[in-house]
Order: sequence, then structure tokens, then C-alpha cells
Amino acid sequence: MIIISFAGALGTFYCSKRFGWNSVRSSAGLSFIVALFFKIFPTLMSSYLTETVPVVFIGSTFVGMVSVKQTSSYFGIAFAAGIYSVIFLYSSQYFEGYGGALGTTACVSLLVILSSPYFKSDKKLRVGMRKMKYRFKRSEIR
Amino acid sequence: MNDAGKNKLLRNGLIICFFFVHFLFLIFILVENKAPVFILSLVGIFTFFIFYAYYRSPFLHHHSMDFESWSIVLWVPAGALSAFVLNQKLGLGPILAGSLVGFLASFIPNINKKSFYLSQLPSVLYCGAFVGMTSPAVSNDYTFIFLASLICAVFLMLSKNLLQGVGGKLGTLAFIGVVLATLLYRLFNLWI
Repeated sequence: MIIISFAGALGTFYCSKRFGWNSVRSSAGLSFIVALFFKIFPTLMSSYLTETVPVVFIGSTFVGMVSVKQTSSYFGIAFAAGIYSVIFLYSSQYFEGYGGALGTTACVSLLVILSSPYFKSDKKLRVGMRKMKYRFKRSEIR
Repeated sequence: MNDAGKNKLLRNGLIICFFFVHFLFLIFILVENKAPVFILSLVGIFTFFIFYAYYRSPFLHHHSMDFESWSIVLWVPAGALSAFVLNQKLGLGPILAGSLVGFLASFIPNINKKSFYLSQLPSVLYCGAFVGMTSPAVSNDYTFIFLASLICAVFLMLSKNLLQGVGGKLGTLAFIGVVLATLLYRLFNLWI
């Protein structure tokens, strides 16, 4: 599920950046291909995977719909996709079947990474990692 | 109270509403207590980070209050009802129905690339499609979907400058619409 989440989120973000598609086309287009594939070949994988993969995939594409103004870091988006898959796997059964629940899960996982300014871009992330290493070394010396 | 004061109150109210929905979503995982302790602690940490993001992040929301045009948000019910028909009445399932509506809607700006109005429609129709992805276990009623999409449209109109560019905002709006419509239906059934 985590791998599918990575594929959905990073694929959507890549398509938006590389091909200049609007975020709706990137998300809906990729999800449509995946959903159609499992509709045409329903017995290719186990029934659990046939049912779950398209659901996880479309939800993760919402993570990839994030604007470059918010974050341009592929690592940050991959991290958010990982959080998304964790929340998805354990999300409350009370909200099962509610329209928008997948989008809410995606939004929650993106907000977690957007709470840190270091996930804004890969450059900022490198600076943040360097700062952490420096602080760690300094604490070791003390 | 002047207009600026009213707008500030509305803006803050909407931010609290968004936070409450996300908070509730995570809290239900903790309340259900079905996940291992490690996951529950992670969810607790996520809740703290979300609170911090809403409280501190300067990039999440614009400082000014702006409203989406009603002529644009009126397309939310169209997206919802078309996805609902494809999902439940034609049996395509929620994912294929929602993605098909979104995929077709993404080509609308190609009709006239200079039109600002047409460029806004894909996201509005996709937002509606999320409402239409509701499962039959929640509702299989046209009126329910229409009501949920209207609530979603109102929130979309009011939240133009909030959570800008954050993926999942449209889904959250659809979720608010469906949850409030469910609550209204339950209250109405109790009253009858």
C-alpha cells in the first residue's frame, strides 16, 4: 500500500510539473487508468488488492495535487504519501463510504509535512538536515 | 461590526471548522482504538503537527478574505450528480466514476483557453465528483447528494483563500458536505 501511495502521489506531482497538466487531469487521469485496469482485469490479483489498490491510488493522487507554491520537494511528497497510507490503513470505519474521506486523509497527511518549513523544497530540506547533523554533533561533543 | 471585522470573523471561523474536521478525523482513529499502540502514538503526533500547521504556517491561507463566484460553485452539484449516476446507478464504482468525471472536466478549459471562467471548472466539478463518490451504504438518494453538494458549494465559495494549493482541500470540502447532510438527514428522521 505504501508503494502504491508513493506511485500515486509522486506520479501526479511529476505529471503536473513535467507535462504542465492541471492538477485535476494529473490526479483523475492516472486514477482513471488504474481503476479501468482493475475493472477490465478483475481476477489478475486477489480480490482484496483489486478492491483496495484503486482506492489507495486515487487518495494518494490527492497528495500529489499539492501546489509547487506549498512544496516542491519530492521527498516531502513521498513522506506525506507514507503518512497517507498509515492513516488510510487505520482510518475509522465510522467514515467508511463517505465521499471526500480520502481527500481528507490526503489533506491531513500534507498538513503534517507543511507544518515544517524544511519540506518546502529539497534545498530547504538539505539545509534542515545539515542543521540537525550540526546540532547532533554539538550535543555529542558536550 | 464593519465588513473587515465580519470577514475576519468568518475567516477564523472557517479555519477552525477545517481544523475541527481534520482533528475529528484523527481523533476517531484514537477513539476506535483498533490500531497498535505505535500507530496510535503516531496519530497523536500527527494531530499535534496539524494544530501547529494551522496555528503557525504562514503559507496555508491568504490573509485577505475573498469569495468564489456563485456562478462557478454552482457546478459542484453537476459534478456530484454525474459522478453519483455513474457510481451507483450505472454501477461503475466510486473510483472509476469520480476519476472519469474529473478527467473529462479537465478538458473543459480547452474549449476556450482564454476564458478564466472555464479554467475554474475542472476543480469545481472534481470537488462535486467526490460528493458523488459516496457509497450506497451512506446514501443512494439523489436528494441527499444534491443537499451534500450544495453544502459543499457554500463552503467552497467561502474558502477561496484558505488552504490554497493544499492537496485534499476539495476532498475535505466534499467530506464536510456529506457529513453535514448525513447529520441533517438523521435529525430530520428523528423529528419525523
